[in-house]
Amino acid sequence: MNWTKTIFYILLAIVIVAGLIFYRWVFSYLIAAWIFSYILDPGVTWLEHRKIPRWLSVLLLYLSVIGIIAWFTSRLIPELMTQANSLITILGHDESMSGEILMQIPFLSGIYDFVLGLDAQIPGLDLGEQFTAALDNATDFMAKLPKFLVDHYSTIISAMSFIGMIPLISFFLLKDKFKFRRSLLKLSSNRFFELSIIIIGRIDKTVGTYLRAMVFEVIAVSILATIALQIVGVSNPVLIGISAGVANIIPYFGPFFGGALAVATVFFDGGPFIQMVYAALAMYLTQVVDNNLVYPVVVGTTINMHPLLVLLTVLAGGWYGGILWMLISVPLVFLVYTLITVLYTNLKEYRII
Amino acid sequence: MNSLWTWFLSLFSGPKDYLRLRDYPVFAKLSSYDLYLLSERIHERSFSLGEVIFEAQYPLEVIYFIRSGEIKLEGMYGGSQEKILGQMEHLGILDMFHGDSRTGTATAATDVQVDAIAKSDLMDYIDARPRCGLKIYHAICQDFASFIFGSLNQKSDELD
Repeated sequence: MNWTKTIFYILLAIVIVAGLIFYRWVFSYLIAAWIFSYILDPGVTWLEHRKIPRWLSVLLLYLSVIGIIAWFTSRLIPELMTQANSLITILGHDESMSGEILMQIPFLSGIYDFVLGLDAQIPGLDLGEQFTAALDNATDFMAKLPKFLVDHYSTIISAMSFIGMIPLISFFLLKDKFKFRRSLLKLSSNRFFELSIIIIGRIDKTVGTYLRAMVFEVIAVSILATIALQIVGVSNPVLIGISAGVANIIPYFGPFFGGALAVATVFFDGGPFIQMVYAALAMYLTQVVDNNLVYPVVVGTTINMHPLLVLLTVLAGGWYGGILWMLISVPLVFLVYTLITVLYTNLKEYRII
Repeated sequence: MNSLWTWFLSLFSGPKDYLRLRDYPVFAKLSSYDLYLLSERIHERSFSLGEVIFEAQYPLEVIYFIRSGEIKLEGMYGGSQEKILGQMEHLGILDMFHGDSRTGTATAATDVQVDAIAKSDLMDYIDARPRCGLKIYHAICQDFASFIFGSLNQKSDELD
């Protein structure tokens, strides 16, 4: 046994563990900056190929992003705030709202009358009472939902300092991308050099492509849904469109959320039944365009996960960390699964395992 | 005055080590900026005498350019051929046009220094800079031609 080597590796392990403990608070910053840099990287590389230094390319892209955010803030935020208030009013009213208020909605009063008719014909059925209780529960839930959302929005706003650090860290990750990669590969021994180059390359490609595609899809679905809902005359189309776009991150189940939100808005707004159908149709058409046009072109391949696994992952994500984790759990599991597959295949091919 | 200006500019441009890549025939016709972009994707590695660089049937992902020293290539193209490659020669480009795995085993015949580039990085570089790609492919074709004619001459010499 080579004792010098063993002692060196033990010391190295101690230094790494100490480093991990010391820097543990900045991991979330690093991951967020890493994601941000992946989204901007193709732009930086494109500019670099046109003889613009990498640092200047990053700055130019930052200015463009700031410009877009400034435009978005000045044009869309006031409209979004108005729509958010309106949606909260429609869906939430106030916490004391009872099922009786819902009875004023023509569609529901029709059903209620029908249920009461049944009760009159069949003694002891008591469907009317159960119907009112179900509506009470539903309104209770709906009243708490906007408050829950607003609470999380305030948490997001309070994390502005966190967001402020991201571009700064991303600047260095983007500017010195190749330097970091070379330094990382220098750490690998000759035996593992080719394997390391493959794994780093695959991580770079898979994560980069997936993240960029996800961002593009969120934007595309948001715009498509907003236009579709605007055409069919659903109120608050921008807010519902953006919510549908974000929810679309969750495969299979995300699109239902957008559709349900649109239909619920018409429903609680007291709109006619036919408009609910139009709203559902508009969201369905958005999904058709997304699935057949946007997704194949942008992403190329779908997330090849079984719907049951997606459902369990979303539930586990929800239990673990709320709405945010519900959104990121599926992409995260998909990426981890892909990386393990790449690692396993290549370890086999290099006859290491 | 001119040299002073050149010196001043050099303060911002940094060392130009990447220009040495032009010594490789495959990259000989690339411009300085092309070489700079290529150098970002290149990894310098050293192998000691007798160290295995890659084995036959390993996945083909890295192309090596020999900066100094010699490399012994065995079992090329599924046969028992053996070849010594020297300074400025490359390993992996021929395999790149043949399949996804190595056809031979490469071992350092002396202490060797190489410049390595991932196949995917080279392909991305060529995709992004088609003019450079054309120059690189032209140089590779020249290399293949001399390899084929060299082999043919060797065969005819053996028959004679």
